[in-house]
Amino acid sequence: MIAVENCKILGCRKPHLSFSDTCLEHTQNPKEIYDKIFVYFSNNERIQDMCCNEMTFENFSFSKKIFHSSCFQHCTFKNVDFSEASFRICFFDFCTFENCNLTQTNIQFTTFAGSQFKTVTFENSDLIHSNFNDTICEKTNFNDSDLYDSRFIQATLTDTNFKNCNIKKTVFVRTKETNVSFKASNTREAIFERRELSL
Amino acid sequence: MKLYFHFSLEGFSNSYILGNDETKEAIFIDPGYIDSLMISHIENNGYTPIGILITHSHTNQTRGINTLLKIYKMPLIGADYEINGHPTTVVSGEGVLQLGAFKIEYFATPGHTPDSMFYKIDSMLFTGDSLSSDCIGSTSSAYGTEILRNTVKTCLKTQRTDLLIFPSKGPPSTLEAELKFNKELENNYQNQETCMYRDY
Repeated sequence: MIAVENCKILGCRKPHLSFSDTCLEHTQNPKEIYDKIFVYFSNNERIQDMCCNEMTFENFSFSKKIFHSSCFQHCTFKNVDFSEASFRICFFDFCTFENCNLTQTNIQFTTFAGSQFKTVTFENSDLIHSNFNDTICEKTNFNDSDLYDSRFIQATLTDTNFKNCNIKKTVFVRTKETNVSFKASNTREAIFERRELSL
Repeated sequence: MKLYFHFSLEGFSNSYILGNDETKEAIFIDPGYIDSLMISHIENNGYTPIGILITHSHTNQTRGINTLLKIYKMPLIGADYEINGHPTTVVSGEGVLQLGAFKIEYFATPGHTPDSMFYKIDSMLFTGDSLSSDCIGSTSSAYGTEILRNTVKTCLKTQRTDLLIFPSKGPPSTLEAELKFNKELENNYQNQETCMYRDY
């Protein structure tokens, strides 16, 4: 599991990055840390126990990588290819995804809470037991995906499609929807009201 | 430290195994259902189970205790004196417990049930049904909801914000996300629905 330890700078409460003892803000040579992390990503199919908070990834491919127990909170992903990647117990909270490809991914027990998705496709993916609460999804495509037991509580969904999805036990409580399609999805098994969600 | 989660279709709840690869000790958290996958995980990693933590004594969290205690001898830790007929090591209020190499901080969060507890181990907070992503647990009355909300908030506000939250139901979350977005933790949140449904 991710060992979240604080940045060594006194008073800083952010976790330190992998290959460093400080957070990105307090790293003296960010390029060196970026280089080390990119080398790790390039050389390893399995990305495990990594902390890459607040980093920016552009025009990069994580295709077919296996992410496990890693933190990518407050990161920015632009033109990143995650196709056929798999994710278990990963934390992508407060991230920004722009023009990213997450088709045929297998995502389980992972959180994207508070993230922004703009022109992102998750088409034909397994997004099971994952947290999309408070996300802002714009032109995002979840078509042909299995979203079993995932949550979109208070999400803002604009021009977003959930066509032909399994949304059994998927929670859409307090969402704001504009031009959202659930065509051919099992909406009767989804949860749209808080009282249907038992805890 | 390695965390293994298991989703049980019986009760739709999460169980966790936390293993320490240095000491080869492992603890179970809310074993709602035990199957061969979970036992294989223990055996294949060479772990010695040294305890079971129960966040509250509903069946979804405790169904697997009998199976586990038939296989392994270890203490059962919870806020009730007896769970599923087994005596427990009782925890109450707030405190710290050392179980093998695991330093476990515990916090009472009554409301969903009188014996609800949070357990914090390293950067992980196991919240049971008291707190789930963007929700708090169901209670039997508005008074119970208020108690739950206050105890959960009091606990969360004293923690570091990079804490990772592992609930008994639903996906994981982080403390930062819960403090920022969880409307049900707000004092003025009015929703009768939060106390209408209960699960056992």
